[in-house]
Amino acid sequence: MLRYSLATMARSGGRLAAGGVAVAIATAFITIALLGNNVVSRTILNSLSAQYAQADLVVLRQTPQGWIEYLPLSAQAAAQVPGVAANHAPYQLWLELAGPSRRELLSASVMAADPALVSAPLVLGQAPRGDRQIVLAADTADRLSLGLGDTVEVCHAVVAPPQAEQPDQTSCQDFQVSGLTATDQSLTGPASVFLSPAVGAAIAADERVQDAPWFSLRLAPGADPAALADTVAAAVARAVDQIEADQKPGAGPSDAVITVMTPDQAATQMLDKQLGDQRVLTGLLLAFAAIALLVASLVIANTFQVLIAQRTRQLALLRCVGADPGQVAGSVLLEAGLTGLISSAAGFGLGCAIGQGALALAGRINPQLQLPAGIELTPVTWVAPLLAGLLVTLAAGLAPARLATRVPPVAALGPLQPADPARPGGRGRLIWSVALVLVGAVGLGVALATSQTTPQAASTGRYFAPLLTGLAGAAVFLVGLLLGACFWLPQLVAGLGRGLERTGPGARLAVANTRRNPGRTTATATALLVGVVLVAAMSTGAASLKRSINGLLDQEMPLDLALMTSSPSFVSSDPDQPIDQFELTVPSIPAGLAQRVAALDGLVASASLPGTAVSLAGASRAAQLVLLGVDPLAAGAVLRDSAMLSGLAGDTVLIAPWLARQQDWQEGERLTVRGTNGDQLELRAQVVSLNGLGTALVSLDNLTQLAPAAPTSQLWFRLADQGDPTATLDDIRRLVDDAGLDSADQPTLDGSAVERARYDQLLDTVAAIAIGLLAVAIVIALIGVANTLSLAVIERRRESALLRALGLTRGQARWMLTVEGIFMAAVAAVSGVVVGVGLAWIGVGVILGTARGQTLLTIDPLQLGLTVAGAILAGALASILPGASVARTPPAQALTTDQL
Amino acid sequence: MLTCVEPSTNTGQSIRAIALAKTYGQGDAAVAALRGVDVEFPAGRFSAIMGPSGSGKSTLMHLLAGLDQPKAGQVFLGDRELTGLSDNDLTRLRRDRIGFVFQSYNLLPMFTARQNIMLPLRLAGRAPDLDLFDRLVSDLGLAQRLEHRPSQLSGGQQQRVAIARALITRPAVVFADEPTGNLDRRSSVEVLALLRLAVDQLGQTVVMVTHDPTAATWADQVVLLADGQIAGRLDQPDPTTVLAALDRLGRN
Repeated sequence: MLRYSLATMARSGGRLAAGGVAVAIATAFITIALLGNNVVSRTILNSLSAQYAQADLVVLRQTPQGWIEYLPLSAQAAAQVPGVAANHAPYQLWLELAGPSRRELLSASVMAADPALVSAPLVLGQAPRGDRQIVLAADTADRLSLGLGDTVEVCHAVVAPPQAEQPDQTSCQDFQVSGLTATDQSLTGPASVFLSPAVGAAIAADERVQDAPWFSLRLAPGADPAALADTVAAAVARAVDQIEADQKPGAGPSDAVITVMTPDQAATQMLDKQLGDQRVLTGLLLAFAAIALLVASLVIANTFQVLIAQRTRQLALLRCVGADPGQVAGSVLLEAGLTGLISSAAGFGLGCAIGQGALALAGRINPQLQLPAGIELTPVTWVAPLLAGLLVTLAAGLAPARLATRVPPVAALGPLQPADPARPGGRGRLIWSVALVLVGAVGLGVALATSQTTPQAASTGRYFAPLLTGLAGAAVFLVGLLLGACFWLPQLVAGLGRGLERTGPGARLAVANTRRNPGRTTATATALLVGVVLVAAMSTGAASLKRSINGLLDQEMPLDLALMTSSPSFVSSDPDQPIDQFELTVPSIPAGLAQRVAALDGLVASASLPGTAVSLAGASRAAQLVLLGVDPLAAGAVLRDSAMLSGLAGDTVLIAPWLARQQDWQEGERLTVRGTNGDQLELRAQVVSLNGLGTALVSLDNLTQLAPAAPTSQLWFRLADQGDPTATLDDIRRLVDDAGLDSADQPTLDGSAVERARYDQLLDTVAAIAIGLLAVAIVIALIGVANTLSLAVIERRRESALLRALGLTRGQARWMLTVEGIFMAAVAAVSGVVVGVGLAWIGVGVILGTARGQTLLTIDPLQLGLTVAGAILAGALASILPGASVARTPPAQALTTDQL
Repeated sequence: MLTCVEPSTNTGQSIRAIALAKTYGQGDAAVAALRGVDVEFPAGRFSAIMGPSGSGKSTLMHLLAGLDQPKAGQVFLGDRELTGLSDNDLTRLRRDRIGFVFQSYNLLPMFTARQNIMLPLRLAGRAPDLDLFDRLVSDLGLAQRLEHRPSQLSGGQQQRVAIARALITRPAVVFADEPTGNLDRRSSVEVLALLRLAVDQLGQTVVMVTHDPTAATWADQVVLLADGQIAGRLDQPDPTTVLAALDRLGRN
């Protein structure tokens, strides 16, 4: 039988190849997912080990679940037991550096005194010494236009004690750049600025930084790490307990324990925790691969079914000469197995090649990634893809194998009447399909209902229950729909075909052809349908999520950009004490600068807010502060959601909640506002979040009354929706820098434009990747369309010859196949889009219903249009080769009867 | 198109071959199927081509019908030369001027009898001649079967649909390739009588390839073929003369 299978495979090579390519692509997909997983694991492991440099031991604090808790810095000294030569605690600080080209807030750390413990080795210069030297990562220095020996102003926050009612202060000093380092390999807060231990400790005290992710230790020569580990662990544990007992008297001991291990052990142990996110990614990738494999199995099953139909006479002959049904089925399964093995091996090779190529490319694009040199073939990475490809192909061959056993030996004797293809789908299938669709629909409904009734559950575990119900419901619904495709797809084909038939004889033939074998048309269209449903769902889901999230963002972040003068805006005082002298000065934004900024391209609306110093007195307390005046009309054009200003009226003053709390002013309380010129207004307090845009706001009219010539204190801008917010921001910064103002008068930029853009970009990127991955399923399905068409051409070779003899021109023959390809693709694409959009909308309803109860359903017409157009175009492309084959058919073949 | 469609001619045209030659394969493996055939099938007559297997009957018919290109020689339909026409011109010529009837009927399984009959007109984009359609359908006894698909028709009925399909375009010549090869005696007689009727009443030219001597006796003339050459010709054949002629061929 092996010889027979090999011989028939050789004869059907071309036809099997198309199905094989589908399996190969899916296998390559799985291979890449697994290899990618492996590469990411090893990259993380490399980075995890690299951050400890050449440490001998690492001190960690772990919860019983394996999570890392930070260690108190004051316990560092305890690690210095006899036998430990040096120890290092990489705590994280935040510093603002002002280089010649720009200011940046940067993550900073101390450079270990012992070179063996330095995770970012020096590439130039020397380690920071004394209290005025600093070391920068080389790329950071480049960005700030700083070089070795340059002086840079370094500012850090002096954090006020928790109970003190005073704001944080900023402390600035000049430092000299003493060295440059390679990029820091620490995964926990990689730093780009390094300080000497002494300076670091001082700043850590100012910033109230009290802990570090780990301590790394270098041992004295000859010390035994294993023996010392326990001593260190015990000493540090004692110190930590002591510190925490002092800080939080009464609180029980933490359940986290101090562990000391070698860097390799620590890295391996932490890998699992670090991989949490990436596991999700690999799972997602494998899910996509499974979809690709499913589609490939539909394609290959289709191929085998047609091959069996073609070989009916041959199989019958085998039966005549004594093959039993088992042998016939065996030969088909053998052929499927060999095809699966060959194509999954090819797919595995392809996946390895792509993986290695991508790795080399990624390494070249970003040399800072600690990427391994090559892919690593663990047993899982090669057994799983090969086995998956083989099993899927074998499974796809089962039904055709059973079909082959049904060929009666007598079929070899008579002339072959092309049998009417059996109508697919029995009663059982119908019942199953309807049941699954109903169960799925109920699941979706339950998910929607539960998500809407639990708006507050977002932070609890109950958030996920409707999501999972919805996901399961969608899956069951889809399976039911696909299972029942043989009932509704042919109807759809018939309905749509009626309109198409009128366009000409080629189209009429094409439509008739799609109808003559509903089973095969269904299988082909189903393969495409799966891909289109998923792509459409992903695209629509992303578009709807984006719109809904934009709606939420509008509420949370109504203002894109604000240019505001920085000044102390608030001084508290006693209400009984008359304010005879205002301590506040209000810096202004020069009119010229305001005009130049407002004229920038990326801005579509602006509002200018004058500010003046006033005193505000309530029943209990009074304060001096900078009061802003806003023109509701102008502000309305700038704000994306004007809820913030809804309380603004002629007799109200908007007060930030923190101020109201601090001053004990109540909502609706009468406040007396007095301007510098002595004018006075009685206004009602409206406590509302001002999103950090000031402390108190009144209408422009009221402000003009208090201070007729108040200078511009803030400018508000709305950005164009399609622009690049980062570029606009840079433009504004440049204009501000060029204005040549004193640093005290220099206005600062604030606003959510960049953050918004980042959300948008994140969502777009995730959606694009998912769509790209799902598109692989569509590509495989289109191979299926081409396959079905070529098989149909082979099957109908005589019929095509007959049509040519009767006067079908070559052009008409090609057009006939093109219409057939387009038609199948169009039916699948259109129904796929309908189902996909529906599922996506429900999905968005479930996801956002849980969070906010309000969703904005939308579609991305461009992406959906492209999907449908792409599918139809590809359907047309898929018909090119089969069409050429029909056109080549010599008409004389129709007259020779014995060629079957 | 204009050169091909002459709706006024209701009668068939003659078809002529001059020094027609055809070879299959190349080099040593080359087999000469036809070696210089000169023959004329007169207009409005029923001709039969007979000969042993491998004598070149089918090849001759393919070349005459413009289904295949000869190695040498010419074919004329009326006074129009077929040899040398482009594929598209030949396709149009077949569609408008030539009808085919095959041994295995060759109806399209997904179309009804009516759709099969109308197919050549649809392919050409020509308006159906409803008078002719009605006449053919009633002559061929298909009125009750028009909405049936081929799988629901008997062999004789399928062949009658095929004949109607061949005649619906009022072709200049109808080629029939073993039209009775798959039929029982009674259906064979029906089919042959219908072809005869097309010649006598519609003035069609019919050329039939057959190896059934009885079928050949329905023709006005029989052309005998052996080894790719014309081996004889019988006018007004009857069973005796046909059998005698075949017997002679077999002995050579």
